[in-house]
Amino acid sequence: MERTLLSFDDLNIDSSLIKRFEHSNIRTIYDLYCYSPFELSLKFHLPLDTMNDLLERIYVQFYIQPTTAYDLLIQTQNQNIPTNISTLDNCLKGGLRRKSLTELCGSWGSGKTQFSLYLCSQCSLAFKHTIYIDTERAFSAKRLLEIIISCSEQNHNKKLLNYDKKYYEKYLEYVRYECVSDMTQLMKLLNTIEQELQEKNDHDIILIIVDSIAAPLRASTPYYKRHQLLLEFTDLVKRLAENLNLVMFVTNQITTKRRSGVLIENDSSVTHQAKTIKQTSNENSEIVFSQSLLISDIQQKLCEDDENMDNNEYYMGIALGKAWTYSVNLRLAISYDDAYNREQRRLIIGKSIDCPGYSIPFQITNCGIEEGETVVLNELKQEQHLHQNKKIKLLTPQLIVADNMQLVGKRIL
Amino acid sequence: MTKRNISALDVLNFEGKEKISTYSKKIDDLLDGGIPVGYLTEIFGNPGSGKSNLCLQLAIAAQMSHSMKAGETGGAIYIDTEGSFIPIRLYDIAVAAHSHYKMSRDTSAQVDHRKLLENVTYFRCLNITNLISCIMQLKALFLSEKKIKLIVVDSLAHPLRTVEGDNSLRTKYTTMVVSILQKLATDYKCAVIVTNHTATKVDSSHGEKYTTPTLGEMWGHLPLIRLKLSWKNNCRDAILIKSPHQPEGSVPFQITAGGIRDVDTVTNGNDCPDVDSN
Repeated sequence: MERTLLSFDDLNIDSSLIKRFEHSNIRTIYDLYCYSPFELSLKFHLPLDTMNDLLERIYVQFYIQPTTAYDLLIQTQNQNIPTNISTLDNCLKGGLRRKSLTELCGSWGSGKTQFSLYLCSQCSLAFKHTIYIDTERAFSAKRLLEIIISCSEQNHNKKLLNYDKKYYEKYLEYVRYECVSDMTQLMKLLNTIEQELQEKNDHDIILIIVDSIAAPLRASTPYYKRHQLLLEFTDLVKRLAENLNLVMFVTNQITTKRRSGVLIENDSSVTHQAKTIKQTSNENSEIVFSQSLLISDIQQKLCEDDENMDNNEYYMGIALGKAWTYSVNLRLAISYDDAYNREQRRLIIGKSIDCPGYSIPFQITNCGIEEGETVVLNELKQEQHLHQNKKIKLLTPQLIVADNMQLVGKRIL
Repeated sequence: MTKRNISALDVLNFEGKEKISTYSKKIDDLLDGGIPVGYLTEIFGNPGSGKSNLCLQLAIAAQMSHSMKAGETGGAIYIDTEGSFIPIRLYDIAVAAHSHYKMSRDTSAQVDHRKLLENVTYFRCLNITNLISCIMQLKALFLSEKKIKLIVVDSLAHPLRTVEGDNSLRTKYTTMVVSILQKLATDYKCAVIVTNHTATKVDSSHGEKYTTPTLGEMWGHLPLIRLKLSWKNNCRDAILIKSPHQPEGSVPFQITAGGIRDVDTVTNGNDCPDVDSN
């Protein structure tokens, strides 16, 4: 764990002082930080100046190297991982970003695993290594091979007759496959991967996929532990992404959320009271106005709920909660179109620092993920296309609330 | 030697004149000019509400003379705890910021976008220990010749949420971070911005859900200004929650490809950089 790396062992401090620290339960720099210099000088009977100098000597060994935004721009310029879905790459200015946590959510059967396999195929075809961590046993090597072959055929623009399957199987070797079934195994695996890759000077992994994080969290952990485990997971994957300069791609599931904010069913006495008032108010409407504000509010809510009961009461929202939403840097979601066109899938950019709200129609084909229609993001480009007598649709972003996205799932006929 | 006491008139002449514009006139008016220099400002909101974007905009605004009201320009320090800082986004905002004022006055000097990015010092902190180490070393940056006008901590809530135990440890770390930052703000005349998260709570009496900023009640007293970014009527909204002399209020704003702007800003091809890479 990170904490042990911050112990006093390798620092240039008097060993007697370290013993005194330990006596007061200060074992790591983490513990030392929560005391002010004044408190410490009182505690260890050292003059304040000496304490300040000593602390300065300790803290300076934990200083972080800054960089300028310009240097960072140059470093990360060509490092994005292209998804080869051209509109998505245009929105993200090159592709998925390294050192960031990317999430893909969608209801069952919407295409999350397909998207993950597609990403693996694109990396393999570019001779880059990936790690696929499977928690739902949904990984299909056969499908991955199919995507690789179809994409190669498309790239070479001809149907390869008499191709040797073995030729394409070599691409599968670029994907490292791991299977875990619960959170303990997952955390252990990620820690092992972190150690392995840190020891290698020049590791070649550019993408780690966890498909999915929701499954082990929901299945194997008791409810009260989930929050803590999710926080640990988040810190670990962010550290992996940052220190090893790769993309962390995590898939997430859907949960049912209740639309109204008033928890009426928890207090049955209030409900009963409100319901009786509702009945009597029809006979004598003066009663309504003489009641307290609380009850008239609930009465109004009951009216609304009666109307909305079946249609809009429950909706599908993204699992894992608000704190998780803060942690992800890029949120992609798969939703079907509205009730009228349940066949069309869309990839929605839900949370992004520069391009939220774009919704890209796509299909799942032999080649993996293919865009629905050509779109442009910029009005100028649209005019250019119009000059060439090509009517191209302008993709305009919607205003999306990242932690309250409502997704539409597959329709069962 | 007579020592004259400082009167309120003196304070009026020196008080909070320096402000950093947010590039949205409505938000600037809400804040009486912009983000005040020398004080701590908090920005909080739901995920995706625009906190990091506003921070990036201010990091550029601190360097442009058009947006530094009644003060000198200077560099910015950006402390990132969530990994949400994307340099290309800062670059787009820098390019758009330059042309934003092109229409109102002519620019005599060619603005060097590279320099705008070089003046933003970036720290990536993975946990609370990193963050405190980082804040402790900031003083050395101020002692060098470069002038720094803004420190951004995006966000303070993220590393504190994993601090174990009861609230007292969290409060200790918060106090430590804030005391160092406030000292830097007053001693070196720079603005400090801290972003915060929100959490959903249930009001036990009514059973209604409401969102509240995290970091606790004690934190609420520390910043001079608290600004909430949210949505209202399908439009982004900035709400002033705490201010020493401005009334509470809310104004709409938008986030374009070029950064934070007012809702009725006309965006033509010149204002926003090209999003399409083809």
